[in-house]
Amino acid sequence: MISKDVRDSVDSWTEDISDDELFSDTYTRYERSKKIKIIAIIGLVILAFVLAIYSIQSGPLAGDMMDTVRILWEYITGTVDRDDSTVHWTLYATWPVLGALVGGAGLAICGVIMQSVLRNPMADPYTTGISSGASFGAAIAIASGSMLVTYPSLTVVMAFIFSLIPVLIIMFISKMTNASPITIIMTGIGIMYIFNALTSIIRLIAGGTAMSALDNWLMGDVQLVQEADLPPMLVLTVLGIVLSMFLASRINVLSTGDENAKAMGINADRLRIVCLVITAVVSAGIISFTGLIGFVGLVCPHIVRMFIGADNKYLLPASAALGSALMVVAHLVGKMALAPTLVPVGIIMSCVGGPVFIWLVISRNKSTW
Amino acid sequence: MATIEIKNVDFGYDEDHIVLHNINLDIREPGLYCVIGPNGVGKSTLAKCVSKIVNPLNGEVLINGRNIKDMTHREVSEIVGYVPAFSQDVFSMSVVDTIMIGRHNHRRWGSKKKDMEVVYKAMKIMRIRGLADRKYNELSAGQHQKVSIARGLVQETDILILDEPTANLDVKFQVYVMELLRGVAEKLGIIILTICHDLNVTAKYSHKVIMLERPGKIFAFGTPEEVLTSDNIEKVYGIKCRVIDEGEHHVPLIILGEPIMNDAIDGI
Repeated sequence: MISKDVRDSVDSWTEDISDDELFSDTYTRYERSKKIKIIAIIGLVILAFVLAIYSIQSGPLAGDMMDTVRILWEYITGTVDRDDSTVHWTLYATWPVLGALVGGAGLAICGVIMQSVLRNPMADPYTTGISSGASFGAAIAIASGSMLVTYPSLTVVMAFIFSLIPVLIIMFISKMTNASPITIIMTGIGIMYIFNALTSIIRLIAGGTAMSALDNWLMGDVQLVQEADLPPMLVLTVLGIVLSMFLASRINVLSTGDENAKAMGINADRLRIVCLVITAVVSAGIISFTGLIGFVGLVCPHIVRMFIGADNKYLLPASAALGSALMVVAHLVGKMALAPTLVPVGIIMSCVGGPVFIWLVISRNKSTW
Repeated sequence: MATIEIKNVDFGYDEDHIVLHNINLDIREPGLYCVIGPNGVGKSTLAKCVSKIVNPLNGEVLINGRNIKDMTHREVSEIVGYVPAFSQDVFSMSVVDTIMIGRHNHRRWGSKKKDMEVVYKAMKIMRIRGLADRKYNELSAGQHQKVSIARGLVQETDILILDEPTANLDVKFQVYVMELLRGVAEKLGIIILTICHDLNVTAKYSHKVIMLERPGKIFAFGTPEEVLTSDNIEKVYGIKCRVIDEGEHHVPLIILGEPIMNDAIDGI
């Protein structure tokens, strides 16, 4: 019934192959590819920090690069002299750059997680309605703040609260209907349109100064980031990276399909919800401080996948590092392009991200998607 | 030794559309079990019930004597491996990494050399060693199928369920895969449950055949000689055929004749 060749194949299943040369060769190549990915990640992290320092020292009245490094070191060790004008201007230029560094990493990992768990290359905080929810929250805060009391942090709080609403709706629908990833994306898009319409209504009603303030927020700019904003942004982003790295193996399995995931012992629906909550909190935490910044979450994961593949254990940290680097560059370009006018990061990212995304789609490699 | 007991199982995606009706099955011997039946009769659904991918409306499924309703997905997955008919990998990993996903339950913090050994052996016996570094989305449908089977094998479970493992494979590999699955079941003493459409392949390689009929009921369960008779095939599939006793192993050889267009049989 079973031929000799097949019998030999079956027998090889229980054989010891530790001395097999072809196996050693395969194993060596596998380990080498892992090391190359780790080196690429470290390289991207170093690049992001070098770009950040360059961006800080390219600010108005700041010192040279070594001065910048020294001032930042003194700031970290608590020995910085804040009365010094160079220190003052260096630190003034530092907060937006650090905002870009942290925000870029956070938004990029949100894109990676959403695309993997929803198995959709178009998934990001926009297509799941999170950004639109945040816009609506900010719109209410800015409109009421300008008309009633001046309370800047209300914008952040409202943007954060309202950005979580789309996820709560998605969670509710998922629980009720065992929604598929496609249903979740389509629900997110529906919510996006609703919140966008509501934001437009508020914009129309508010008018004048409030409309202008809201437009500024909607353009998305790390220039809004202050020293006090960085700790919550950093905590949320680091928490997001740590949690997603912890779940990376499970996200890999989930990205191969719900049936596969369940068959591999993973509660697919629960993991997807956990991941959506993580991304909602991280992206809401960032967007509420920076305003709307698109394309980082959407494009970074695709660029990284082209070079190091779709394994989330490497994709997550590499995308975080690339997201940081891109946001820092966008901020730098925004400072220099129309100086002395500062062009918001959100506009630069969209101007550059749009063509890059179209190029990716046109030249997309079958093996990447 | 692994066992599967299915007792009075009904399954439907809602109460008005019942797919499986009062399924009873008792599998206590290792071997290759083929589930056959017309399209839409519930073959894949039965496989999913055993893997806890879906939960029955009524009745119980017991794996090694334990009701899977009382087991976590993780506990079930340590005993039952499942390879779906269609892979949904949207983002492409290398073939090695794709197969390594099957080792998820065996590793916690990164893959070890032992995992790589198992993956390598699976690639070797599925004849895809040369594809190790290729991206999954660059492969043909048949190569996808081989990768999926390798991903099922590396799970090293006592029960392995494969939904149409020979789909998209050329004739040589259809035969190779079925011989291999039979050989693995015999060698390792595990239960392999596959869903098949080719009656002759089923007749030649399965130890036991589970024949389903509309509307989602077990019509026959037994050896290929007991189940694959011309009467049974005509009643269940609606096609005339001749069954010849072939070769020294007396394997039924099915020669298909003309189809009988019957609304009841076709489920219209």
